Amino acid sequence: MGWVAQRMDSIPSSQIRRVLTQIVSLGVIVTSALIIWKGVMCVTGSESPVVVVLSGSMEPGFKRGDILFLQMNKDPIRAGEIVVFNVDGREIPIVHRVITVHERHGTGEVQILTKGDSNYDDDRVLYARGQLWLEQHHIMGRAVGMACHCVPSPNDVVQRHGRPGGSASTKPDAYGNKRIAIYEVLLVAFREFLLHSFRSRSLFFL
Amino acid sequence: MHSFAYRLNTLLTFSLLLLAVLCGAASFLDAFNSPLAASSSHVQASAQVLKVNRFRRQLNGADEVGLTFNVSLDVQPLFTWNTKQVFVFLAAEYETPKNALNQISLWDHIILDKDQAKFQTKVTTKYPLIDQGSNLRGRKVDLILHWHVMPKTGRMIRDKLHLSDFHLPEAYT
Repeated sequence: MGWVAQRMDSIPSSQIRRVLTQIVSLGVIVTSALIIWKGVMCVTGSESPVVVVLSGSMEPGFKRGDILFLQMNKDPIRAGEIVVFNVDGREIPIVHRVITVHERHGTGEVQILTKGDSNYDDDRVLYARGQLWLEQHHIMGRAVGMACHCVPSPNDVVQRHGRPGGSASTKPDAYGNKRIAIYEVLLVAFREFLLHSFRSRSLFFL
Repeated sequence: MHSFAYRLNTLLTFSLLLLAVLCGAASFLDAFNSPLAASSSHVQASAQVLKVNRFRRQLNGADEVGLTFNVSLDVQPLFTWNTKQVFVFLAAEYETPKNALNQISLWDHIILDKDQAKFQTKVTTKYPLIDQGSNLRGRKVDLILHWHVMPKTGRMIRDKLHLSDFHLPEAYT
């Protein structure tokens, strides 16, 4: 006990203050990143405003690792739009193009069929058993723009180390929603980090 | 204050910020350069149905049509420095008593550069025209060319052009 007190005394209080300041600043950055993230979700109307393309089924337009911006509004889905949708029973959202639309008189309900640009078949094989069409409520957002090919995908890393590459292009890759979420938060945190650096004229932790 | 570490630190921060600003500027400028209404009106295309290969009713009661058609298109005005590819597809659009709008893609093509963006070809329907029900006999169908300009970075642009319309036969073949 006395040894601990001696060690604590030898640390100058200014050092402690600096460490505490850094911890608090880190907390502020993470929190404001989250605030910005939620704000962007509100503005774009989509649950997931930024996604990373996981599979190669939309090549050469979207490659694995590309970052897409999504938006969602009440406009009816039309053929040719690139939509992100969730299939019941599958964790990972899929980014494909709408090729067929059937819209009912009156209610305006739509039934949609999608297909990846570089897939041979349409997506009926990916939908839930017995499901022939997608409906408006399955769609999480429309892709409106792309940022860059920023994210090196696990597939790239595996291939660089000489092992055979990942899954076939017709299946959505089984990397999980968690990876998308991590990438998204990292992106926003990185932007926050840049802003903070600009204000304080130095990289955060130095 | 003037140590090597401090200078390196400042340099690194500054270059990262500059990079981020340049990326943002490139995306922003592209918004002005992107082919909006002006160039979209310069896209030329035409399509004619040559032959109805198949017009029958499937076992589940849905009509199915297979066509051969001639399509010629020139989407060169859509290509800019920021264009990665242009995805074109020909959609059949029609109305039925049950559905206010049916859009079915018959054929699509990916164009990767400006040289390949002007061509004409005779093709058969890549995806069969299958109705929800059997409402296609004698139906008027519009052929509309849709295109989707996918950039290297930035906003994607979608537009379409009505090419022609045709009537399906009154009886199954």
